[in-house]
Amino acid sequence: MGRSTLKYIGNRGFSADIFKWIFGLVAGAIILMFLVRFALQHVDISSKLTDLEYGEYIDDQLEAFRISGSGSKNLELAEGYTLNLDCDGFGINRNLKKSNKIIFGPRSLQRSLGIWTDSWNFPFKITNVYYIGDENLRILIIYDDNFGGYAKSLQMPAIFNVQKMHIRDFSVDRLRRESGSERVNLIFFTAVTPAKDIISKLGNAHVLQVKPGTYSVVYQNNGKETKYLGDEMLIGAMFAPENFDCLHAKAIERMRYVTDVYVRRADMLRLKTLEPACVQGLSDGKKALESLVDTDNAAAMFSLRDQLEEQNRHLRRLDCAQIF
Amino acid sequence: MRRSSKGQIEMNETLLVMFFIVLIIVIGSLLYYRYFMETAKTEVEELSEQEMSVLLASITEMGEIRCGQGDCIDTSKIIPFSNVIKAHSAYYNTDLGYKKITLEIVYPASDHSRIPCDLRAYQQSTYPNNCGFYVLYENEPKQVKKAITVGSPVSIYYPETDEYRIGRLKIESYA
Repeated sequence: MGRSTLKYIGNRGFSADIFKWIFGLVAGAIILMFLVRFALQHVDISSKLTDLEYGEYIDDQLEAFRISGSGSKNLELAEGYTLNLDCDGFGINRNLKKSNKIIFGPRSLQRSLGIWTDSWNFPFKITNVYYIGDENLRILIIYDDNFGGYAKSLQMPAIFNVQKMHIRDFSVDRLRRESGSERVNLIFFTAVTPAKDIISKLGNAHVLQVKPGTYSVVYQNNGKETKYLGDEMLIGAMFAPENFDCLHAKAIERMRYVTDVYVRRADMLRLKTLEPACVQGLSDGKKALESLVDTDNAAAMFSLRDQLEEQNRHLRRLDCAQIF
Repeated sequence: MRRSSKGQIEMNETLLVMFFIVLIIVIGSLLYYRYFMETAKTEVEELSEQEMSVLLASITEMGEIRCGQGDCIDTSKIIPFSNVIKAHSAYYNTDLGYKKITLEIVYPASDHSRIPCDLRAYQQSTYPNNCGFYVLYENEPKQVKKAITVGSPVSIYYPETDEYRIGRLKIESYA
């Protein structure tokens, strides 16, 4: 033991100086740990708060956008922020907010977003649906001679990277060379042959087959077939094929609630009507609305929609209060 | 003995210094935390006000209450809508949260402005002149600390008589 060390040790053990040093070190380490923990927690809470604020901002933007009824616009997301979409809601980074909004889009989006909203009517307005894409999303619609007219009639705003082509011009190898890291949603208005080959060649591809005759779409990545109600829903499937099943169910749920309002409304309006023809028309309408609430069959839903439109026209001709 | 008491004094000094440093850090942290929470609270309130203004403008576009022709509220949908909300409260609470949404009839002014336009009022032959306001949605928390109110004039439609009136849509948000 050196002299300097011995200086601090008397016959009673450690001196006050050395104890002070040890005590200072331990206390300093504890204070430092506390400050570091405080700083980390603060950073975590701050970033969560910013994410939530940003999420609210996007929610307000979508809500305000709904007022216009239909339209499209661009929205820039700041660097480092990711908009995550889920069937149950959406949010920035890891902070998802539960929402009943029906938003079709890839699960995660960054930077420059294209947002489009349109009213979904069946036959009356149910709600506004949203379509969101970013620079990384490419939608390729491939059709044959049978469904070329229908595929071309589906219009989407120019802010999205959507291309339409005939099946004879489609080449998987060329697409693989062109697409790079892009996410590609391939929408076939024709038979997909062979789907597995396309999916394996294009790593980031979602393949959807549309069967307009049966109002159904088949997500070839997992083979799931889902019925769709109207073009708004079909376009939704093009934006979010992997989530379509769930989002469509969510849209149907909303449709049932809105239809339920019309059922009760028709019942109430009957009370205020004296004209027998109007009472009969409203009763028929109520029955059709009740069937629409109860059915799960897509073909029956389309038939009821047409029936309701006709019944409404009939009531208008009679100058009665209408079903919707 | 002298050496021991000097050591003890030094030790006490050290402990005192440490105690004050820790006290300053704790008080500083608490003050900062309080300031941070206050700022966050203000931001939340601002966001809530912003959200209410947006909701006020967009609510008339809800398929559940909007007129077929748009840009107005169909009064014949309000009573059914409030019943549907009661049946599916969890669904609508997700979007509307802790709020109360009412629609007051402003013009022509009703002599019964304090009577709600519910199913009972609707069933009477004097409807819509026998009531003064509709309750669209109501979800009040158990303890209300603060309520912010926003309102806006809206056009309201009565399909029973095919007439329009002017109303005031009011949203109260509870904190």
